[in-house]
Amino acid sequence: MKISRVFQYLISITILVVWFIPLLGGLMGSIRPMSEIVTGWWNLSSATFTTHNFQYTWSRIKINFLNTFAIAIPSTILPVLIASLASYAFAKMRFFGRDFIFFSFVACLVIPGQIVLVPLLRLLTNLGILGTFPSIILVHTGFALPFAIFYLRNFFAKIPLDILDSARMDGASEFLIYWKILLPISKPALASLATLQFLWVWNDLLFALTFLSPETFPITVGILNLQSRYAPRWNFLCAGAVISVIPPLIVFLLLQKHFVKGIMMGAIKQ
Amino acid sequence: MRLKVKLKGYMGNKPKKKINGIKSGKALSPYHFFHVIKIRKKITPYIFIFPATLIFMTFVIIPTVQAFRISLFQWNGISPFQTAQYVGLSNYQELISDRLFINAAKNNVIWLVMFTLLPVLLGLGIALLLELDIKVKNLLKSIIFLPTAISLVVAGVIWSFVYDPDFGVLNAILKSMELEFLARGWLGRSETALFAIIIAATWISTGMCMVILSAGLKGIPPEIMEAARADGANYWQLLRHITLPLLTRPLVIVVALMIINSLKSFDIVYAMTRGGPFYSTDVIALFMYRQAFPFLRAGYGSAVAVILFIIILLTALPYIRRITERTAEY
Repeated sequence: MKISRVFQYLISITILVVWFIPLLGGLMGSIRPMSEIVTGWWNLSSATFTTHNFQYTWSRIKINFLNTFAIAIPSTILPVLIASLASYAFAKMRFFGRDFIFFSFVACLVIPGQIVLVPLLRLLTNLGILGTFPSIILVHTGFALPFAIFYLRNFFAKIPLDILDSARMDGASEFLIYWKILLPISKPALASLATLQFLWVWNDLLFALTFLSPETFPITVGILNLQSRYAPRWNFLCAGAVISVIPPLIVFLLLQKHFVKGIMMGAIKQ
Repeated sequence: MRLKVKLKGYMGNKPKKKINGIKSGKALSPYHFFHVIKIRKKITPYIFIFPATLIFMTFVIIPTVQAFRISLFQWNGISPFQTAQYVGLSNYQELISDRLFINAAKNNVIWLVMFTLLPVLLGLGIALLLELDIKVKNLLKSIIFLPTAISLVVAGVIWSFVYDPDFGVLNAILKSMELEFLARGWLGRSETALFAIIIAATWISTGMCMVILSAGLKGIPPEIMEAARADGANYWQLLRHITLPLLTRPLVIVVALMIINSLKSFDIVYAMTRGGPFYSTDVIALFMYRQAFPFLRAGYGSAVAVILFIIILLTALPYIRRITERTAEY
């Protein structure tokens, strides 16, 4: 296996490089002036760096950036709370229709977002919240529920009954058990779910385009507005890309363990 | 004010407190009603699932059903629904013969095939590669998985930059390798645009496949591998007869995910080409969006969405069933 060692290294390095190039290009495009990009950002000999791209782009995108937080944070907290409440019931309580309702939730994983665009437009207009944050928060919450409930219920089911039962015997209400015992124990699962959901909402385009207005657009739409019909302004586009990638990147790097665990636990039953 | 709650059956035969309003015949206030244990135990689950069910019904289930209904009408989506005309299934009839729709569907099929093969194979290959002890393992893992955290819009922008005919990296590399004849406007030509986008999408999704398959690989007990190796199996035999069969479940999951994602693809196409040039990168999701909004054909658009839903349902349901089969063991 010695020759193939070298082979493995070669392939690994190649893959690494290939994978990294687009990111590097985006980064370079954001910190170098357009005049240098035009001659190729990979020419490092005469590299000058500038913050002009960021300044210009930030002034255009600041609103969108803040909007995205206003959308993503509630859209993460709300589904996690609601789903954990419901998942507790599905996992640890017995009631008529339990399995049917649970599987109905899970089956709805296949529902694509497109199908509700038109009807929800009508509903949200009637409710008077079209174009505002609450509208998209509710939609994101709704669509987050199938996976969240599936994931959390599987996690809760593995929690031994003893802990909960002893609390019940002491006379605690179910809600108290949920709030004071279940949630603290489930922090890893909740963190994974929250991470996934946050990233998902942060990166959403379809719902944002449909249900929001120019004052409430998140950065996914904001970046698209930087595209011009004629020659693409790569310096600004790349700056916008970098700006919009920083929060997910931070979340990702800080919580990488949770993130990966989240995907694995959701995907594979141990 | 605390209401003492006696748990029947746990405490044995203690004298029953008069909480049980039914027995004593007193009038019940909702407060007392709720604290009757039996009733409370029965209602609580429903209270717990109520918020989720309410939001889910309002914002997902009912609109989905409405979409089916709207697809039977011709409506512009703006004027009140009363002005819509009932046209039965004619939207669907029009769809079947709509050349642009067929074009979009064809693109989705291409997408589906490539997107199921490429990321899965790449992810599998990389996962296997990672099994062998290499120093750069963690770096490799992180870099390949990183794009999963990036929005499809950002990825689209970055890759558009790569593909730019004059300033993009791809053509520059080709030129430096004396392959200038291969350089072209990747996103501007109908023949190459779709594949260019799919490659970008693969870049994003391979990481996810790799992680899931890696986890699956870790689940293979080393004893089996040792035993087989002791029996004289070489690497490829090991791979074919042991590793792959044991990876069936993760593979199924990954393939299902890729199928569903390929059918839903909207963001990255919208960001890179908006469906052009000349609709060569048009996909069903984009087609639907265009019908419903700029074109104001809400009924027609809903029909497209319904078809999309049914296609996803048909292709994904067998996989979802398999995944949830195991979890039904509780």
